[in-house]
Amino acid sequence: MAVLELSGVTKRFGGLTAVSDFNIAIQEGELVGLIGPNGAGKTTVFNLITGMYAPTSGTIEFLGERVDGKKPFEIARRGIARTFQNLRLFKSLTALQNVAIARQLESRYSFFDAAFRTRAFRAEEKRVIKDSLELLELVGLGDKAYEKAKNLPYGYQRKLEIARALSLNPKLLLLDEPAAGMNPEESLSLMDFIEDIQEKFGVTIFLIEHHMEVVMGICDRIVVLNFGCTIAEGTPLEVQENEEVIKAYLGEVQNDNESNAQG
Amino acid sequence: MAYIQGVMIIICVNLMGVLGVSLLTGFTGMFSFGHAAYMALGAYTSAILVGRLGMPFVVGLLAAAAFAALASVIIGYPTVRLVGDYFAIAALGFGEATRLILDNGGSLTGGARGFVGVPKHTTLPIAILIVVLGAILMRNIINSRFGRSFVAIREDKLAAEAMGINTARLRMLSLAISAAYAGVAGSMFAHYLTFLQPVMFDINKSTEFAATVVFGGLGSMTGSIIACIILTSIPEIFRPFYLWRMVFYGLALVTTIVLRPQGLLGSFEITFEGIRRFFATPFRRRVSAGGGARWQS
Repeated sequence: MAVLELSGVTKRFGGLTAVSDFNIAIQEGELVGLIGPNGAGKTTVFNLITGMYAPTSGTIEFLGERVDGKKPFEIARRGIARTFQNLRLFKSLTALQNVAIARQLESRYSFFDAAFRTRAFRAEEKRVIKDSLELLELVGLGDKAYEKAKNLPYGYQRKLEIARALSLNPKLLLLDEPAAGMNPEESLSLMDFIEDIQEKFGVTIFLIEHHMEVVMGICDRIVVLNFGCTIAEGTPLEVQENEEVIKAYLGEVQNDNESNAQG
Repeated sequence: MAYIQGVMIIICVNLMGVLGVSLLTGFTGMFSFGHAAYMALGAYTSAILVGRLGMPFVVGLLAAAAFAALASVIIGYPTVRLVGDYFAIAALGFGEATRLILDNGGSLTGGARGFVGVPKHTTLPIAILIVVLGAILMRNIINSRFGRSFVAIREDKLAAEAMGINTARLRMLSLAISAAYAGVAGSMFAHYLTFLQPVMFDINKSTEFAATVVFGGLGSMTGSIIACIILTSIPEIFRPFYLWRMVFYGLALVTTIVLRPQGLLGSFEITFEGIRRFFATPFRRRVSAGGGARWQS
């Protein structure tokens, strides 16, 4: 069964069609890449999946259940976690607290338990902190647990955001340009990191990326968007050789000459 | 002596209100210019229950908290989804509306002429007891999953939502807690002054709470407490220039924004652990290390 299935998803903002008739089915354990030029609608697809936008038409199914129209926090609790293109960490919280935010969702202690620090409260807090520390340890941020997120180096902040998403125990992880702002060397180590967490956490991954070496290196399958429409889909090799894709990225020689002549 | 005691009781009253606003503004990132209204609701609820119906003071206090929280939920339901300035403006409108309703409350509230004959119950030891209890409960809330979620919402609402936090519900909870604190402040106030007038709870009072929290440092409970003690006692020290009180507030606020935008303490908290460590460290090392301790949970 597909973990995630989008059928005929369209999103219009007034007269602009950001995503048009988008279809995809992602199977369990897959690592699928979503690429396309700037403004192609990639992040919109993520925002639709996570409930930040409601689709204009079409359906989104997660583990066989409709999730379109649900609120973002409900979708997150069902098991879809995401990261953001331009880091959205809880900056003045420590790395540990950033991760604890989602680890504590299972805590059921009441408001009065918290106010009076009952035994149930203390036991749950202990569990949350223990779980969070373990998670940070697993992703290699164990020694940064008590550092404020904003004081971490950029590469670590990127890792922390992924760790925070993993703290939801997601079935599906959406990574929005995880290698943004990284040099080729850092991108390569990020690739290893992503493959590593997929193995350790058994999570299905859908990622947007501009760094071709990252996408081509780790993805099982790639979908290419341009102006909101899917123009190609297949293995990294197939996509690389697809003429539509080359056109979308490099433009058509003939068109360029025309516009130059007119300009 | 009675005068100094009176000032200290007023400090305790203001502290209760400020603790609540500090949670809402400093920790959850929601500005409110209507908290005097929750204080008024608490004051009148308690005055009516204890003064007219002869119930015990404890019932008055709890009912004040409950009624203010209930009112905040009714007001909050349509407004907590509003972001930033819009929420603050909605709160301001609610505050003024409440004052006008109390002004026209007829025999129940005594209208604009005031509510007389509230029994005197708020003595200094009781006031201090309530504030200490209130501060401890507030600290416990902040150091729990609720507190962490509030700060996460303040830091990044969208990311908080993406991490499974029901932001609308938690913003409502923060508002309700802060309203309950303001309600208790109102009850303490009513049973200290024994006389209530709607004009006591106008926008100036709301602004005073918000200004105190900003002055103390957003995201610092101890900062808010220190700021409240300073800002309540200084006008009393300069009693002859009492009319200049609001000028003083404005000046303190502008000075803070210009010279120390993070407020007196920033988001730094003074903790017992921090104080203990401060005195346990030899002076020379303390100077080189910078001293103090940061709040961690």
